[in-house]
Amino acid sequence: MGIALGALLVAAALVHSAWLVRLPVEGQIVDPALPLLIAIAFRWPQWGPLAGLGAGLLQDLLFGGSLGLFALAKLLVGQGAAVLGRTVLVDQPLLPWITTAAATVVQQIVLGIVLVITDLLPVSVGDFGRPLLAGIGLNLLAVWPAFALVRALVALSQRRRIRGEGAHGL
Amino acid sequence: MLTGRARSLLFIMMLLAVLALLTGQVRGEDRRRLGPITTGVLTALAPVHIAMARVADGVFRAWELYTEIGRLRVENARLREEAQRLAQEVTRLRETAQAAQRLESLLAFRAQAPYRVVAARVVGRDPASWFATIVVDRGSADGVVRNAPVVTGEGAVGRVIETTPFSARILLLSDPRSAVGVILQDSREIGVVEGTGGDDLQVKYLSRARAVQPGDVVITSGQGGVFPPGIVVGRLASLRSGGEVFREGTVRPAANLGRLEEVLILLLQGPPR
Repeated sequence: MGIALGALLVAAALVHSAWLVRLPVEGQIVDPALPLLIAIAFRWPQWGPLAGLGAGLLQDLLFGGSLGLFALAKLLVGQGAAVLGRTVLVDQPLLPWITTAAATVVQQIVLGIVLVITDLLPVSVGDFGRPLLAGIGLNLLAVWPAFALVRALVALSQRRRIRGEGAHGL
Repeated sequence: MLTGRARSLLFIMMLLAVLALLTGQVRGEDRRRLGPITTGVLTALAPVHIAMARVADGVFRAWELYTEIGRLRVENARLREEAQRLAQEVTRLRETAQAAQRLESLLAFRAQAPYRVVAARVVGRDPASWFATIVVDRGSADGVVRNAPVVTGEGAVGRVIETTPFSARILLLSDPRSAVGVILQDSREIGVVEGTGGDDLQVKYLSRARAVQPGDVVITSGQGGVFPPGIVVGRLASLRSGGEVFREGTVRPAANLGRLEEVLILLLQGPPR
């Protein structure tokens, strides 16, 4: 399962950096790794922080930024989603959308704080206006595919387990 | 399964590691230093990344091409419309220029003629091919009378054969019923020009005794009482024998009788202008 989840995150990072980066809206692009890692953290909370760290590091590597920047933001998002996954009923239909919107805001705030502290890039209040709204809207577009993929993975894993148990029973 | 304490510990360790990585990057001179692991990851991902980027390039190029084709179609339709509009404009301007040229020559003739002149527009033609008549938009209300001579800037056209208050029918020189007394300008030979029903006219009763050459300008002689003397009828095109005493010839009319649009009606009875 770990390998499958890793492959999913790698694929998301590649799609993000090779394809989605060509479709900017208000300077923002869809970040498919964000809803994906939330979906992973909801189903397997123990993998949440690690998935966030891995997805963030991949993003840092592929986008050419400072290593650790997105890793930190996504680690925090993964941890937050994992806490949610343990404490609330994650099957509520609106939860993925609300969490993704909130995670987009959190990620933007974390990035802003880190950039201000480290003086890597200039940050303005305007970055939290229309661009942030565009980012939220774009990331919401990726919620359904990300959660559907994770559901498919869960279904696949359950089918294999049942088949395995059936083989042992025989 | 990890306990809550172990999970928290793991998270704090990861957080510290990321912060350390970030701090190291920020403090470093190049702000992005890849270790062997990250280089390895990038190297492993590079072929897939490049392939995906190429696919995206292809899709985007195809999309650009598609939108470009659409844009070109719209542009093409617009340019076609523009060309059509300009062609219509050119036709209209050409028409206007030709009309101006015709009116200019009519005006020049009118200035020379010592008679009252009525300018008329051709509004109808005889649909029967064996008669050559036209209808103009001036009639007896304008003073037009029967047998009034009709000319253009190039030369004689015919005579009025019937009038209504607001129109008049003109018998063209080319009509077989038409006959006009003429004189050849150079040889001063007298003859009669008659219509043939075709494009050319024929001149009759030219004396064999005088030297007449094709190319001689044929003008009205004033005999016959319709045309005043000196109006150009045409040019002698050819000569042939017309019997023992006379010769005949073909005259090419000066005015284009098949394509008349505006004419001048000379009112000889009226007071000189």
